[in-house]
Amino acid sequence: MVGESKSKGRVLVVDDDPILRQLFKRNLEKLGVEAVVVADGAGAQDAVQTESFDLVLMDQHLTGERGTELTARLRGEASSSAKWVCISGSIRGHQAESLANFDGSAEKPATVEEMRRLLREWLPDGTLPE
Amino acid sequence: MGPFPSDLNRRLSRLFLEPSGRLDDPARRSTATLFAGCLLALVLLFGAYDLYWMLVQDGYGPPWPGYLMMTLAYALVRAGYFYPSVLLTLGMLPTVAFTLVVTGHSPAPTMTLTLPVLGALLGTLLVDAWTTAALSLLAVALIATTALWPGPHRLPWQAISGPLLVNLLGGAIGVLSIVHRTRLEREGRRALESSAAELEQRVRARTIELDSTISELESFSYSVSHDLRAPLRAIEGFAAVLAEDHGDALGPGGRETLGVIRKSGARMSAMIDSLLDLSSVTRSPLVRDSLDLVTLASEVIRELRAAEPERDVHVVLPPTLPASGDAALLRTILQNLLGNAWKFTAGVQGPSIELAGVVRHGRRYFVVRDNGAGFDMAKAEHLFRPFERLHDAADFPGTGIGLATAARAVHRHGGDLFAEARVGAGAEFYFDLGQESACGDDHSRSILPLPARPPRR
Repeated sequence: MVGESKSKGRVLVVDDDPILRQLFKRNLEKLGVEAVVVADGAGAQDAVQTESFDLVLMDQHLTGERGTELTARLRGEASSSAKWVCISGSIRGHQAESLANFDGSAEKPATVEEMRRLLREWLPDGTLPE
Repeated sequence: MGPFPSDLNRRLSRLFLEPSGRLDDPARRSTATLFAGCLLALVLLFGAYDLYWMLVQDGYGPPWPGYLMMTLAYALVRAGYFYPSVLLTLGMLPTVAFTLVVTGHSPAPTMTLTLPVLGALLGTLLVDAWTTAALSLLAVALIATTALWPGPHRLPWQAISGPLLVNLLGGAIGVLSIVHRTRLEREGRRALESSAAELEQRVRARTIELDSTISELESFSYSVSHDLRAPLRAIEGFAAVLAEDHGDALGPGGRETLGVIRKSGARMSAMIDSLLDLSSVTRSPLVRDSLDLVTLASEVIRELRAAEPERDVHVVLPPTLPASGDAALLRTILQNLLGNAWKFTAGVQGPSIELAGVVRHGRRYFVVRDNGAGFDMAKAEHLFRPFERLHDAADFPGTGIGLATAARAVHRHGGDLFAEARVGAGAEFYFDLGQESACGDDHSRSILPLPARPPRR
């Protein structure tokens, strides 16, 4: 297990929608990466303090919090190699300032295929099992 | 404030400054003629009265008939009877002349008293306070001369003190009237200016209010559209899960039904995207650049060809089409207009699309032409409204928002977008970008109406 987990990508998803969290977790596991899904800033803080991730998918609009601010706060505590990507219902018409602190942005991936495209773009080479 | 309280000001200005109206009414004119006759008779009567005292009694009669006459004449003039006043004035002169030349006497009090009437009458007739003042002061000089006239019939000072006072008063009123009128004019002008400024201020406030309402509405529709995406993503995602994990259990009928659900989800997704595009056209700031529309159009056509490589559409572009506009918005305009032309030429033989610069009604326009399905011009007004479609979605897929988005992007530039078409004979979409679109010798657009000047009285 320990040897395997080194080559597997590790993804943290922060989204306040429980149904979407369920969908993301299922699709990420289907793709063979390790997935941690949390609902809010507190959960995200716990996660980045105890584990390291290759990719953080951060919802733009969290309950009572903005994704861009949470990212600014947590980036220092997480491993420096992690990529932080803003996910949102639609990336159309996004204001530039709401994407500050992020490495990139993407529409929320609904299907396995969409998730695969997203991971291929952002995970380090070799961490996405074929 | 001025020399008088404001109410008195108003009354004085009504009495001395405002014209008392012309004799346009024939009934009034005949009454005026009658009064004129009576006045002339009075003048002659008072003249005879003076002559009787001077020649027979070798003295002067009491001055009250003169006061009476002056009051009467002035009242008549104020009532608008101009002709009697003129006759009175003219009738006065020979009487004075007769007295001076034939009798060698200076004019008697009645006559000197009528001199201020002359001033008041002419002043009112000409509606000019300067004349009132000048004639009253002239009368003062004349009366003073009669008092200083050499010879035995010089008027005693006590005889002329009354008329002198009246004329000085007349002169003073004239001068005050001038001061007063100047002040009124200045105040009127200032009031006009300040009300214009206030109006402008109100328009500005209303505009700001409207702008904020519009931007509130925009951000509302933006966030609604945006929030609709999340549950839709869940529907699309779990429909996919259902197909992947339980596809076999569903059977062919179930899988087909699931396909309909997924297609509908995708369609709704496209509509929300269009709505977000529509609102982003209004939300983003407009930045004008000098651009070549042909460069932008070529990129758009490349994208269209890439999306449907199996279609062979003939595209005609000029070598260059310089324009001044916002790059992102212009791209949106061309994407929608060229995309539209691309879509509606799907069913025709030898489909062709053209982008060109043309001059119509003395204005420069860009035009996107196609030889596609066209539309009924009677329904053209529905063309640019969101979600209103002139064609069946089964024949030509689309959300019905594209042209509304293009129109908004054109309007953001201060330009105009309109279409001309016939069913089955293609369509033409004309647009301009607001600035510098007038051309040729059509200068009429640059001439603004002159600002209205405050009326002079």
